[in-house]
Amino acid sequence: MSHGRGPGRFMMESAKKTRSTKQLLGRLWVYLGKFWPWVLFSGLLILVSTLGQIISPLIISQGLDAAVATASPDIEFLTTLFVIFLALSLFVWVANAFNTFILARVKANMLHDVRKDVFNHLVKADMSYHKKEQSGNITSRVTSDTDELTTGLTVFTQVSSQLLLTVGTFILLVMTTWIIAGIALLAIPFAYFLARFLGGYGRRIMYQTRKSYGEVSGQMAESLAGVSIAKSFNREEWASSILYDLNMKTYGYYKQLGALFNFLFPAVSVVSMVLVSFTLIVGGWLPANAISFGEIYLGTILVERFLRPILHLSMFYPQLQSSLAAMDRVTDVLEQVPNVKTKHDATKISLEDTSVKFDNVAYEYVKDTPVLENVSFTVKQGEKIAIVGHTGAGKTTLAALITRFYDPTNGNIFIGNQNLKDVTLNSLQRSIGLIPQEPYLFADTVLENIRYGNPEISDGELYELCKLIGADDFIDALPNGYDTVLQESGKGLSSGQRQIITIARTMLADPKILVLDEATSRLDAYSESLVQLAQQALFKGRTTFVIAHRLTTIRDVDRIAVFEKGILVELGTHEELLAKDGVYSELYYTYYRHQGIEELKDVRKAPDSSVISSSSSIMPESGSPMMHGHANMSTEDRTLMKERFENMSPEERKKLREKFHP
Amino acid sequence: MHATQSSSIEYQRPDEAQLPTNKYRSATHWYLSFFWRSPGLVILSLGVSLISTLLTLAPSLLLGMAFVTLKNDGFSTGFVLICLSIIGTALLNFVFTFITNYAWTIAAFRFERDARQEFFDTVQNHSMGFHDSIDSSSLLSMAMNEVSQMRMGVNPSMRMMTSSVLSLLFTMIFFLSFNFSYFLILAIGFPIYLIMVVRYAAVIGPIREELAQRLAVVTRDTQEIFRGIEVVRSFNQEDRENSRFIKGSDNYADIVTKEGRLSAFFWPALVLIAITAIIFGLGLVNLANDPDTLDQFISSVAILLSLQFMNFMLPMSILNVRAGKTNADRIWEKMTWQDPVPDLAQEGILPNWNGDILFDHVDFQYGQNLKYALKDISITIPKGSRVAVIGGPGSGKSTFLKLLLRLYDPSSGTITIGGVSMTDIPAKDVRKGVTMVEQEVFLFSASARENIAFAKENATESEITEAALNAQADVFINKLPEQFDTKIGERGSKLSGGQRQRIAIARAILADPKVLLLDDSVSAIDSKTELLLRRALDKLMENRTSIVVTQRLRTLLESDFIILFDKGEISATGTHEQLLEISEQYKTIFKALPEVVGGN
Repeated sequence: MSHGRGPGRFMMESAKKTRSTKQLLGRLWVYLGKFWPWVLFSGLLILVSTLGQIISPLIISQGLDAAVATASPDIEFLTTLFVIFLALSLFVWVANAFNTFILARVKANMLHDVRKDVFNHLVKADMSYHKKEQSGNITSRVTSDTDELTTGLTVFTQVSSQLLLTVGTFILLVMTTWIIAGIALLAIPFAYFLARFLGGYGRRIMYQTRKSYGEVSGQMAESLAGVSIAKSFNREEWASSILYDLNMKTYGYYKQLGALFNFLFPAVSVVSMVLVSFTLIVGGWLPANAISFGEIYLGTILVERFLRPILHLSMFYPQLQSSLAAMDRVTDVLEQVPNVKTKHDATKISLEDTSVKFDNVAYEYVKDTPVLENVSFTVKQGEKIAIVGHTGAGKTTLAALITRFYDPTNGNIFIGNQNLKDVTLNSLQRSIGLIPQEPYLFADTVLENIRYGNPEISDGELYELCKLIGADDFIDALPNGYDTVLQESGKGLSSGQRQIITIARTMLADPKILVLDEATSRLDAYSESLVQLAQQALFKGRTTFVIAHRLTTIRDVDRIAVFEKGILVELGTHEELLAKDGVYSELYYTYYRHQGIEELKDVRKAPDSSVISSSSSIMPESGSPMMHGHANMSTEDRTLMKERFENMSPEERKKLREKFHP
Repeated sequence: MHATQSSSIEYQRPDEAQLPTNKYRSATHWYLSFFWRSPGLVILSLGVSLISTLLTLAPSLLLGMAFVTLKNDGFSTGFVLICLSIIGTALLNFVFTFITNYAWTIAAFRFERDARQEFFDTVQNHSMGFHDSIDSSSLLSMAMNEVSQMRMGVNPSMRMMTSSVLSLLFTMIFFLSFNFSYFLILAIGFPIYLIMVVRYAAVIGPIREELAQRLAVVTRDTQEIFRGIEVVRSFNQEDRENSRFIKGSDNYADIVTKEGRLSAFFWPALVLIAITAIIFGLGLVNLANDPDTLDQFISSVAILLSLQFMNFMLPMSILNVRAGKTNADRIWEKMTWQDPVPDLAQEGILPNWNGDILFDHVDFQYGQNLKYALKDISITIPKGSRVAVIGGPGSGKSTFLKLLLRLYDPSSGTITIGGVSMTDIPAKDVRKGVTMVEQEVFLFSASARENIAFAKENATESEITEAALNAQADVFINKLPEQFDTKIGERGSKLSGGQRQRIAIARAILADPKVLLLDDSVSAIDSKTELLLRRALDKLMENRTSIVVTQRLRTLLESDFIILFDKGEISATGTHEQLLEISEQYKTIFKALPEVVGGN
């Protein structure tokens, strides 16, 4: 949702577009053209209504002349004029009403069509697209950008009818008296000046106001989200005062903006009156046989009408631009061709053999910078394999390749003996269960969230399953049990609870192959054991890939695949790999072992917290007289201390040295 | 955080009586308070608008005079003077219109600014019971969009309504001055016009609201679907989500069409058309009979034509005023939220931190009809003790901490600090002595320094660096591009979990509380981080009562005693060794500790 209700939307910074206006209008016509009879009809209505508006002052002027100039006025003629005037006004009203009505229908249907298409494209778009774009941006492609198109259409119809009116008025003026038409032209330099002023100074103020308003919004968002922190540190007043300052600043800009607009519109009226006055003077000055009263009066009505449309044009222009930019973004989505798609001759996946084979697989997001290279290994049916490695080793990419969110740049992946590319995407995704690191929960009840895995299942079966994996107690502890409605992807649930819900959901879907990206955050002991239990149930009999972060998990798998910089460096059981004393053992000692009890014992033997302050004196250049006191510190710690010392400012270093070497 | 920006007027926190919910009787009262918030500006604007509206009619009158003069005297000095006076009155009108509109605009922007601040101050004051039950993004949209809508109801809408009604009034007076039958036509026509406009708005208003709601549904659904696209795909639910979306979008298209159909036919315009046509006709006949009515004819037709602007402005204004009222109602509802457990504490009653903390038969539930989160809790926490809390999810351990911070009050039973009941102590005084380090650390998008200093308003530079040092946070902070001045990103997202945790610890060290509450289910990434955290926590717990929700064997071993929670009740208390003997459940948990599992 945009916060665009602040200062005028029409002055928004128009975004750059990558396609020509012609191309974009062509795109738009694909949707609009479907309703061409209506569009045509609407165009006709605009035309006749404008014509009516141009003629109606002419009737007034005719009437005036007929009543004043003729010695014996023809009452019948006057009555006819009255009837024509009334009929014209009614006609214009009817035409406008029908036009609005028709356009509303066209817009609603067009909007629906565009939205549907954009939505469909996005749902089918490559996963890489979704990973790249923020979900907020994607949402605005579907909602606000498409909305912008219809706004553009509205503005376009308004602008074109205004333009038509201006041109028509001018033609009528020229036909009546060309001199008064000349006076009307005086409006053009003024309109030009106004447009420049609006585009320059006006736009700047608009921009500053929007920016400032955005700051208030940002601050407000943060303060509302962090309200418990402000409360626990008694800093509510501070939060209020920060907001107050920003609010005051924004108000300052708003005042300038208000002054600008309150100056501009009355100024237009003044200029209109100047034109009226000139028209009168010139009309009066001309000999009576050259111009009638009626014509002078007509002139005053017409010149007054002349300026406003020009002003509107200059104000609406940026809106048209931003609608085109929206069309551009929408077109980006519509023209995207997914790289990953089902082949014509693809078959449904057969799950007789669920072993997974990587055959010389490589993948690169950016050309010539491979994330995975020459990956070849086979996971047997029902085998559990842990994938470990440093950040950036390619673990998540590997997982994404199995689910075919991407296709390998090189090599192939097989399930049984079927190449992933030869089976339908639907059947593939249905048979692979994916549990992402950040489990996503819908804003619905816990029950419905679990049921998402298999909408056909009954409540009873669902409860049974939750009991089976030990999730029952867990869910029962929620304020409203299974009927607890989740907000903001499960705010208020512990990460353990969130994970259990996703595990239950996946169990329901009963996939034969499982890909699990373990959450990095450690769970509390109880949750850990429950999640472990649930995981064991989940893993049972399924070919399983786990990107492992927990010691308990790597202990539980059959084999471990170790990745480094996109290359499979080691593969084997925990014991085999430890014996190798290679990458895995280094990883194990850094990331996993300390989760275990052996490490804990070490720490208990180590000196207490005074280590920290005294350790700062362990610096190579000081000759470290206190080293003996920390004999059992690991190398790790020493490096850390050194690093710590090196990062200090000279003053701090001096201070500390004095503290420990009085 | 923009602490450096200062305004000329310092922020003054409103006291109880100054809160809008006490100052105003209802949403309408609050909405209309616009009129007396800046009385000078509003009166000035209304007063001057009498003149400016009158001046708006002037050109039409002068036009009539000009034609009469031209007819009688030809192209004369008098004629030219009248023509020039059109410019003169236009200039005058310009000045007065500017004053009218600008004064009103300023008053309206002030109203918007103050209403926004009032909303925030009031809502911030609500207890956590409120904030837990509501999505913070919906509050945000109220504070920003809906308050802006309220202002739009006031300006330009209310101003346009006033000037429209004044225009109608002055037009009638003008017509009365020369032709009573014209006046009668207006006196009948205008009220009918106004009534029809109001009825039109009454029909369209609810549809516009429905329109906004349906759009919100489409937006919400879309957002949800694309946030969870991975889940949608892996469960092959594209079709289901697709039909959900299409249903929402279809619904929206329906209402857009309906709105278009109803709003296209603006019937009141017909009344104005009829009036203009009739007076045009009558005027012509009059003119034919009496050439001296030339000025009347010209002026009245000119005025009536210029009234056409109302066909566009008036319904829009009424709809906006209406929408503003709807928004005011919604906001007011949130502002007047009634705390089911009202705070009855009196200023001046202070906790006695030298005494023990005592829970006496405490029950707690997050809302009526919800399960008890805590049941019959009775326990004493001696001053200066180290207490570990352990239990499964939903066992009540986090709630236990929140009660100690007085984010909530017990549903029944009492908590006393050194003999003083917690509900008698103002929450801010409780929180001066109690600090919590949460499991999921919330940081502000401000500098590292400001985030740490959050705990202490006037913290000195050296206090801040020392806190960072003790929290093991100085090394990584000094590595940041601008050290302590580095903005640590939206909600602290530029930092890793362990780093965020250490900032939170530094914050707590600086707060120097009597009682420390710690939800220690840290995200452990590697042993290096783990070690740093452990040290920081040791420092933090030094010399104070500490209550730690933990899963660390080490913390359990080193605590004076452990409280074991189960399904909202205390199932056992004692030291690690004692619990191993007396509690089967503790034994089970102990075995489930990852450290123990891993060691086997």
